[in-house]
Amino acid sequence: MAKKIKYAMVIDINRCIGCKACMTSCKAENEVPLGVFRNHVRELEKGIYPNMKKIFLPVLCNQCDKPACKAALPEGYEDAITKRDDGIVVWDEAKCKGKVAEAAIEGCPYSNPYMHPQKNVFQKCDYCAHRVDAGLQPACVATCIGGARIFGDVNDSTSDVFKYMATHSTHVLKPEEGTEPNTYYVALDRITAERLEGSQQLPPTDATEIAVENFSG
Amino acid sequence: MSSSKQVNVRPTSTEMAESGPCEAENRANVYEFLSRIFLEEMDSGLLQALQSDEVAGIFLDWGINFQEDLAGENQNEILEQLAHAYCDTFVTGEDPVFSPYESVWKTGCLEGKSTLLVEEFYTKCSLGLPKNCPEFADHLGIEFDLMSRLAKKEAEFRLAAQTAQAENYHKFQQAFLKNHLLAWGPEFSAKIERWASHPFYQHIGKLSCEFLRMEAEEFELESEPYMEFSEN
Amino acid sequence: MQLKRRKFIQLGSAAGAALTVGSQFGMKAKASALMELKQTGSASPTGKKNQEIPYTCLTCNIEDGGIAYVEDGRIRRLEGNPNHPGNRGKLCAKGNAGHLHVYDPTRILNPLKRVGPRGSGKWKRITWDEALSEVAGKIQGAMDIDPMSVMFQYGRNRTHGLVYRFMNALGSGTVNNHTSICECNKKVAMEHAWGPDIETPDFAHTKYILNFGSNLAEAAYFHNPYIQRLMDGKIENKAKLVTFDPRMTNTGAISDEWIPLKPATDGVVALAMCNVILQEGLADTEFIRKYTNVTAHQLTEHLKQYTPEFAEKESGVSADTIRRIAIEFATAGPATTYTYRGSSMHQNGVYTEKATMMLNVVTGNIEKRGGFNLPRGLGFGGGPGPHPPKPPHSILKYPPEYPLASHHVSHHVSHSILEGRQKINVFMLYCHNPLYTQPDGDTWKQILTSEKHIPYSVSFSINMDDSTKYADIILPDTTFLERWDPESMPSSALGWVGLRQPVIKPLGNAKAFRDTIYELAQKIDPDGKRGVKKYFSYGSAESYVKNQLEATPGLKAAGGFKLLKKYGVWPFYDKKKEDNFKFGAHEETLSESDLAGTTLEGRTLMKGGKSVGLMVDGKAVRGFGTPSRTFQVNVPEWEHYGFEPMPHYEAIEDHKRMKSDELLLSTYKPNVHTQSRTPNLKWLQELHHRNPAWINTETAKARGIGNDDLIRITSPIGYMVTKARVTEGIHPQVVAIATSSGMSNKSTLGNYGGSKDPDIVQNTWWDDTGVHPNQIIPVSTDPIGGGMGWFDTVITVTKAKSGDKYGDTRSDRGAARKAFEKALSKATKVRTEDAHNTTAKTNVRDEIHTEVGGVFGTTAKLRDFEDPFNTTA
Repeated sequence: MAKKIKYAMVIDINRCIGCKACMTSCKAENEVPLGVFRNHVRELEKGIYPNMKKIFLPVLCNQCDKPACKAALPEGYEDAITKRDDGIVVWDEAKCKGKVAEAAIEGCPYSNPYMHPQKNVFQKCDYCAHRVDAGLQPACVATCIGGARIFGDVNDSTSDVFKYMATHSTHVLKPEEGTEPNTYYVALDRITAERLEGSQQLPPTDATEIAVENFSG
Repeated sequence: MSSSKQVNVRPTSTEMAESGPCEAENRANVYEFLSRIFLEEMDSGLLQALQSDEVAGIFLDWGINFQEDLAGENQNEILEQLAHAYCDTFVTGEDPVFSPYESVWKTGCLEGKSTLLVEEFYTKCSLGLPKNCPEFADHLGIEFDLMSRLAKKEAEFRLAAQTAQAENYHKFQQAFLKNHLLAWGPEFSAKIERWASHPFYQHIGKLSCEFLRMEAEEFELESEPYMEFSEN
Repeated sequence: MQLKRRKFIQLGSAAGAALTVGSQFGMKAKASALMELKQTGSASPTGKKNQEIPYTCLTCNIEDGGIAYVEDGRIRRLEGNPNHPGNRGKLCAKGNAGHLHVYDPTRILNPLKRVGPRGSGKWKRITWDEALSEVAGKIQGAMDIDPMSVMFQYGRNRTHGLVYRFMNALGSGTVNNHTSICECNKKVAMEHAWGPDIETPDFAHTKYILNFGSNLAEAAYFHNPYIQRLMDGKIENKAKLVTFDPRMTNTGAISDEWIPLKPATDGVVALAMCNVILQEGLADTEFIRKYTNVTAHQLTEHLKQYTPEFAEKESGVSADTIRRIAIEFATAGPATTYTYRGSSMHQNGVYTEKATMMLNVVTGNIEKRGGFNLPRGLGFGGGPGPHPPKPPHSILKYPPEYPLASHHVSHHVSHSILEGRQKINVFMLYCHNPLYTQPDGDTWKQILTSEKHIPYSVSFSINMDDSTKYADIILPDTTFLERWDPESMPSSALGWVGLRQPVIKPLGNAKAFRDTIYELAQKIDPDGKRGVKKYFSYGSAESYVKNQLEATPGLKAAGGFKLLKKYGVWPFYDKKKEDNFKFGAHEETLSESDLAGTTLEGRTLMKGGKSVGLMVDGKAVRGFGTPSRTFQVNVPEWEHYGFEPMPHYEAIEDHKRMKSDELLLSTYKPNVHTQSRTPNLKWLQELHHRNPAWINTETAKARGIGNDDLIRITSPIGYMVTKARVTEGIHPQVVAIATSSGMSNKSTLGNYGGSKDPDIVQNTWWDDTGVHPNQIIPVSTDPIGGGMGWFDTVITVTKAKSGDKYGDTRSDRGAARKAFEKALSKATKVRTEDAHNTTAKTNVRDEIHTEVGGVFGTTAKLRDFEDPFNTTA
């Protein structure tokens, strides 16, 4: 009997060129309002001229196996957020709103979910579930120019994502949080190698330059 | 550009005619008038009509003096000024510009969801979009035109004592006001009253806003509250 | 349970829809045995089935292929066309936002006529009939005085021949493009070196990429298609990427080494590397002997002057690094350089481009797998006959001071008109915003506002912009999603032609430029007596474009225009074909029929007055597209005009004389914008709206400047007040400012009174839209190529002075004029009466426009290099 599908994404940092096509395709595909993002590409700099280095880190919802957003829901609202059988973590906007949503957003150690500024409901990346259900790759994967995103069923040994993980060493963000993310990174150690102490917090000239966080792994 | 029109306006609610068809027909005429003003620049025939004592006198009851607004050296010059004012207010110019489309108002883009919904509404109420429609379906002038045609249908059926049909068209008007016109029309019109560069269009904004508020009352609907403006 | 059931039903119906509708746009990725997830397809939130209509993108000028998803007659979403050999199903950030152009509320949807002074913002709407009648009348009047007084200035014109058809029919040669503010220096250097004006490196199979000043990860030709191959090369082929750039761009970020250098010194670094390679015995002397017009010995001797130490002195790059990189490049296996735009937008841009090309020559990396290769593209036709005869060239287009500037000198036009060099009666502007995109914008403002210099002006434009606002009449154009154009670009080894087609009807009363010109021609010449109408009797724009495309060899047999309408591109992407592509076009032996009737002049085979081949060790081969059919290391034409014929580094005098506290101003294009057309696209504007000046930490410290401080940047012609972005990522002597900010025309975002759209009134979280630098950048010109020296401006930077306000920008007209004259003073003094008929290069430019149509001036030469896949089968 075939294993059930489990969706996962691999992001190969060696391939990300920081072009922001993924950020824009996400906005377009999911009608995300201005001011919030489901998909960020962080820009990290380190070093002193001329030995300066810069690297890009795309982040999105990790569709955790133990989603902290769900764990943070107040009692009685546990079904406001659900983990599907295929691994994607979805939410019910009718239930996950207001204070409930705030709690869930607060609970995420990756700061991916946001409050929709007008609807006052919880929202986040859902691996473009509507596309996946229609037999399509997520929008960010489809448009990724550098070829940095690989997506599919990690339980199927013939899938691209399985093969990529089998041939590359991968890490997840913040494993110490214990949420068991399903977005894996190749060459994440290049970011930990850049190290917090040496890297500079970029001045916030635009939405993608966000304070560097403590990524370990 | 269209030629001059006969304008029948019902100035105040207290002077409303008793009979149903007449009321619907009067409402239709107001909508038709507003539609014409918003859809296109002024033309010489309409200008003359609005300048006439007969017509201008009626609007005085609304606190609007079209003879003053439309005074000038000669007709051509007035028409030029009005054409500029129309463009300046609705199309492009020194800001602010008020693009007269429901979808721009609601979703910041042309031909948005609202446009589609209005097109669908036309189908639902068995009216086609005007032939060679010069504008998107959710242009304020087109929406006024739709109300005018619905009201005319209501009037026709009331005259023919076909009450069920008349009520049907009455309901369509209510639905359209509720879902479309009243959702943006009064506030948009109030902005025109406040910001239009020409007194004529300022007064048209006032007229439109007040008429829509009256319509809201008539159909027992909520309208957008009148906005008190500070700066832009 | 409920979720699962809903999901299952969705899956069932949606998958069915995906399979039937999307099947023509295949490219599956193996997601699982159960389900293959397609890369692209429509999954509308309403669940409605969408039309899937292919188009060619024009958000920038790379011409990627896309698919538009249209629902209820409205474009819902754009995605890449997986069949497109260039972009292979992917769109960049700009491409993903392209449909926002269509629905922009500030779009002009009716002809407008000004009713106040120029630039006052007072307009009225008029009908098309009124507009075209007026414009036609003005053109007739101007033609009666002097046809050359009718002028056409275009920016992003993708009609491939229609503008020239129109202007030639009017009898006017006063047509100007914008290429001199773009890549004309690179083009001229390349044309004289090997024929075509661009390259298509084989990044995917290379082992080494030496990048001089190109920001391929964000922009450049061809950002999307090339960076895909470059990443494949980097990752799969373990290619090393080295970037020379004063600024840490995203390309610098992904490079194995980012080596900053002083602007305008890329050439001396490249020549020093060539010197090292030759000295170390690592050169491909056979290639030099066989295919160039110099000997290895001559070249070695000539390049001796460019020692690594000399290059270090000029550029700041250490001699050791220069040596090391040179040796790495020469021994890597196949290797290639890449350039544009950083290295050639200088007064020495042509020499620089030639110098970087030489690296590929000395290492024999020309035309090979993994190497620096001739551009591949498919041409198309010049439209249906008859074609009007060519009028004389305008002095504005080809000023005699720049005999080798085969791509016009457009940034001189403003000054030339101002001084009355040519009388203009009617000025037409098409898809161009010179006040914003050209240097010294104030001079453009002067002529555009002056009815003495420009008595009548028309702008064909989609939006109001800094230049269009000064027009007398605005004729609303359509966006790229609402019109017909043929397209082709050498963006991959596999040549392709693409279609731009209306995926929806044009909005409002916007009219496609092709249609407007056609109707204008009828009005100018209703009875045919002026001899204009006969060139505009072909019918619809669609029929014209069909005619152009069906002239492409092989297309008709493959399915013709109908196929292009359905799939958007031809041929389709074929990974195997691309991976196995055979280069070496220059080595192809000439056939019997090719050879018949040829005579030999030196090593060059001549036929019918044209050079057709090259003798190499007794074999007749194609060679390159130059008069001698060699790769011209030595360029006799340059010598004729008093320039250095051999590869040369020309230091910029102003830079040599820089004081210790002076800096150099550079500008750049951020990854989510084009030069000027994208700030109204909200998702892009959100990512990049302000453009603080990048300044090195030490440089800032020395001036007491902190991050985000207000600073004053003073150039030879003016000053601007902007904010500082203090960073380690820039050369200490360089300040860099992004373009695409500081427009005067307002977008809707944050300041549009006529909307309650939450994104406009609440969610726009910024209000700083930057300060534009071009007004303070003086005209400066490469004397060979005629290209603008964008990155040469010497500046001082200080904290803002008291009274300075953010955004203050001033320029001095006298100083601007002086700068123009200074640029002119560096031009050649040698005059040839018919300078622009003497070299094949300059003639070919005109040939392309009137006879062959499109593809960057390379079509004529590319006809020498048939598509190896023999598409005429």
